[in-house]
Amino acid sequence: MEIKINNVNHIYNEFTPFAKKALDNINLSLESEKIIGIIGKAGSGKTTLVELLNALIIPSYGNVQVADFNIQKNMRLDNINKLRRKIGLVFQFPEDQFFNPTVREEVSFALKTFSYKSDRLHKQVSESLKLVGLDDNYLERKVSSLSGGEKRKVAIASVMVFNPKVLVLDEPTVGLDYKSQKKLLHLLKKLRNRYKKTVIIVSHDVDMLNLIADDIIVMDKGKVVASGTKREVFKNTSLFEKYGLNLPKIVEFIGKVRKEKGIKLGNHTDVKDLIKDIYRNV
Amino acid sequence: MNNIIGINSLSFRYQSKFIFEKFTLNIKDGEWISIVGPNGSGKSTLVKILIGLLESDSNIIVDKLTLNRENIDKIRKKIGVVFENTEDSFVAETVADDIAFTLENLAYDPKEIGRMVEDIAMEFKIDDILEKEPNFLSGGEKQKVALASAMVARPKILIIDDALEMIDEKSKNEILEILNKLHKERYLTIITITQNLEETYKTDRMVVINDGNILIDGPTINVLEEDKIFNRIGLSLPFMVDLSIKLKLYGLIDHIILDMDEMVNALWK
Repeated sequence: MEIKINNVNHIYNEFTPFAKKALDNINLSLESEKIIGIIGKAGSGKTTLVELLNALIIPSYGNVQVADFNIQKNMRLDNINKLRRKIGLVFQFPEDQFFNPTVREEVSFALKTFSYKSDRLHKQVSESLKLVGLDDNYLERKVSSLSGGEKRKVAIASVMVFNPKVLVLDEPTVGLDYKSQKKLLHLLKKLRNRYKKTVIIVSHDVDMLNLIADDIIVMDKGKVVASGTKREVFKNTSLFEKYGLNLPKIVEFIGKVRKEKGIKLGNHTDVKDLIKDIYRNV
Repeated sequence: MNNIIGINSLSFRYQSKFIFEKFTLNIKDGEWISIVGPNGSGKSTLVKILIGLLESDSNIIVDKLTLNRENIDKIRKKIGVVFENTEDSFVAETVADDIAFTLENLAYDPKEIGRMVEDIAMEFKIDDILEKEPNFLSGGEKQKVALASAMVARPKILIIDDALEMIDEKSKNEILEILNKLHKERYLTIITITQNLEETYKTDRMVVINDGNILIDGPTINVLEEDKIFNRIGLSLPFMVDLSIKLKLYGLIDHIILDMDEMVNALWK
């Protein structure tokens, strides 16, 4: 399911003294079945951009095309509901999206909203929890008693339960320890490879994106300043300097060796491969 | 150096589960210590106990005072804390008022408050945003304001509780540099609580905890080499530590190098 963002401008509090331009003439085409990373400083428009994708925000100008849906002013409410079955959004702080006491009620909430029949409901909830690595023992647990990592998983399960084609996650690894992060990254890769989903991740963690993303979009002050495959974008080191962003550490190291010592190491994402390459070159 | 914090055989239960059982840790005056561990290891519970948000009946001494209800107000004056979600802690409409709030709470003379706020703002280079609304600041600015609020009453101990995770690298480095200066020039005792090992690089000592137990305690540069422990408890090794350990195994370097330029020059002299 391709997503096209056409000439989108978004202004918060437009026509008031507090007007603030958050997105500035965005044109983007996001390919299906890819993991796409969006990076940029705080306030660069990353979160606004992804909130457009499931019509949480309607663009002030321009439109977003998601399959047959056209997200723009005057979009019909029933279309918004249909669209949200296709695009699931997991917020930065999962607590922000919980409003049910138990895991079972939280995960089944969206299904009830979308009028699923109750016999299918239980199975879907169980399967969705299993997908994120939680078993049925979690069903009656209080959402408020879960750890940060478990809350994140429940938030993802409650979105995956209605089987959206696109999963959008805002800063998914924040607050998770390495083990939980690794499991989450494994899950996201599985969603792309086995279930053919498109996964869009907003994150400041470029090292994590270097490990799993196919494509990268770089934003600054509401504009898209670069987009392309991971390799193309991370190769452009001066761009990262210009916008005060970090490169993945491994990319930075390889670039430094090339610049200062004239030695060309390969474009590795794994430290083990890098070590072998260094060994051959010292 | 004397101990500024002494935790002696702390036992603490949440519902029926022991978070700490006979946990002992001494922190020296003027030391910069990092306490690291995965989610649920007890790090934040320890902070809450130290500032009296959670009560325990164990023997804890903070700057010669026993931690109890009677002394808690005095102890809170000695400890500044910066938490992860600073948004939750902003109360005033401007940055200046927010920093002043800490002093008002501690019943400082209103005549002194304005000057103290200006002094701390100059020191942390936030004097240009004093009249701004806290909610409109960037993540890095918010954390600097939270740090200024924590330090304005000149506490002897500063606790940074997972407070640098969400901010960009440039702001993070600026804050770490401010902390380094406070530590070196004012002998401030700093406790960094984190699961990001990069934030421990400048600390003198590292204590790794899991399930309420100390797994290892020693000079940071030595503890960082214990990759097996970090792997076991699920903490990620920063790139430079991971690279150093593996290059050491190959015999290409003989010690851990945390600075990238230094590493490149060590490999290709």
